[in-house]
Amino acid sequence: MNEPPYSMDRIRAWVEGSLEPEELRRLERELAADEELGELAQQFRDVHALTEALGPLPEPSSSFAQLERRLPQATGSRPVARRVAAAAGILLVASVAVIAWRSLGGFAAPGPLQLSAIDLNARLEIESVAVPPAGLAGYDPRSASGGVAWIYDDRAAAWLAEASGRPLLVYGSIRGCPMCVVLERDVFAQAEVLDLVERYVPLRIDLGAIPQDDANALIQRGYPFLEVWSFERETLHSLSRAPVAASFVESMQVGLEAAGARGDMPTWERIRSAAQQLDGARADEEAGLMAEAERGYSALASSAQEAFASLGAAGLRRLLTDVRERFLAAREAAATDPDRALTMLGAALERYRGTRFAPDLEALRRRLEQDGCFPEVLSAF
Amino acid sequence: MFEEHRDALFRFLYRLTRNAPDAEDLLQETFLTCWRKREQFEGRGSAVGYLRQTGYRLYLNSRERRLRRDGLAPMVGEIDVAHEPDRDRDRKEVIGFLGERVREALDGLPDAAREAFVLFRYEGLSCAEIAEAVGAPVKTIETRLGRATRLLSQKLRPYRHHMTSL
Repeated sequence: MNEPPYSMDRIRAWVEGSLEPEELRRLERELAADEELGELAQQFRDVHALTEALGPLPEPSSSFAQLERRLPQATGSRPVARRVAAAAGILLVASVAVIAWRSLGGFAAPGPLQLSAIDLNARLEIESVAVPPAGLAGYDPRSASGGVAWIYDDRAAAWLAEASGRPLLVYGSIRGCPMCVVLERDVFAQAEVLDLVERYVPLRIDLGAIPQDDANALIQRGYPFLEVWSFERETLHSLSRAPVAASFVESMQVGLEAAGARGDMPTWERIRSAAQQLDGARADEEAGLMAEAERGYSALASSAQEAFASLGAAGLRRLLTDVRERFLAAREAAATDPDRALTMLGAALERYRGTRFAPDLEALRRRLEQDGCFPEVLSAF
Repeated sequence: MFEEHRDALFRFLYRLTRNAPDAEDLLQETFLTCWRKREQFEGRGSAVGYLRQTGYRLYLNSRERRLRRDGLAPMVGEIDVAHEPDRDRDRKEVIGFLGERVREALDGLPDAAREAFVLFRYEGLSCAEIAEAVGAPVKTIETRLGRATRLLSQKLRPYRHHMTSL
């Protein structure tokens, strides 16, 4: 196929080293001559390298046998007349059966199916529930080497600060800075300082990695940059003028007072435990182990840590949303293809076996199988 | 045809949906739809191109439903714990950290740009193949790829220094 050489295809080939020598020389001349194209090529090269780390893909599980079951029956080449005759015969037998059934005592239409757990009336709006950082289950503010385990992600640190009722201890530095090496050795390794760090969420800002204007704005307030912030990034106290151990401890205590940080904040052990529970529930959910996920989220929903209790409740709502969507999709499909709806309900039942939704899904599947049409339902709540 | 194209089509649909169960559903629907409408295939393009086109249309139709169901805020992010003054940073942690940043950056792209980029970068489709699949002109695909590249370059620039530690 003779395709014109589109720029992006050529740039990708250049990055991946698959251009022929002559084509390579030609492209490099073009990149040197065209500033915009050259910049795009450099950007793609960086992005190509950075986007390498995305992890493996899941494997498909659909089989041809599954597909075959859903294919229409009339794929053969029987003559039309024979098919019409066969259909007429079936219709006759079915009619006789219905008449006989009715004469034997009625053909009571089944009533609506009362759902016990699938709530069709719940308002399930799109939730904007921020979740904690993935590494929280193993996080300890004291690093393994005896110093401070700084958090580099400011959103993660802010979440932790809000969830744990702690202020942020913000330390901004430039990598390799000798002043900071001394600070870390003489101040942040001291036992008294480490004890107090546990009452903060330690956030580190690499001043060399943020926009120059932002870095300059922080440095003007003191270097090394040391402040106490609320989780909303409001400055509560500055420590930049006290980078000496003894006065630093005193200054950190002032910072805690400024933050109104009470002594009854949850321990890191409790936070880790709740995070482990959440990680477990999310991992179960992602792996399709919905019964385990439901148990995990239910336990979390009654947690004393409000942030985690909200996440537990959100997890349970997410499961309900998924089940409800599957219910609605099966009901829609049943209007034209009851077999497909049965397959969908079967898949949903398989996924949610062992959860509170399983009895509803089983009842729906049974009724659809018996009646050949989707039953009328009464919502759980 | 199913056995020959199943894996590649699944990857194509997974890149679009970012969700394995949805990709499975769409995979089956795509083959069934192609089977039901097989007489409409005029043979102008390739079979795999026809499958992709069909799959992409089905994906667009179901996208809105998926957004309602999967409406969580993206993850806040992993904690990047500095092992100081440790020079032997665990390579796996860095890769995992970078992976999360890449996922966030891709999630933040406009849909059309993200779809074009993931198909181009991870599935190795050419601009013409992507254009055929999504039913857009090739120049439009080039524009989307350019936009995605610029946006990703901006978002991922702070993590360039992490690459040197790998």
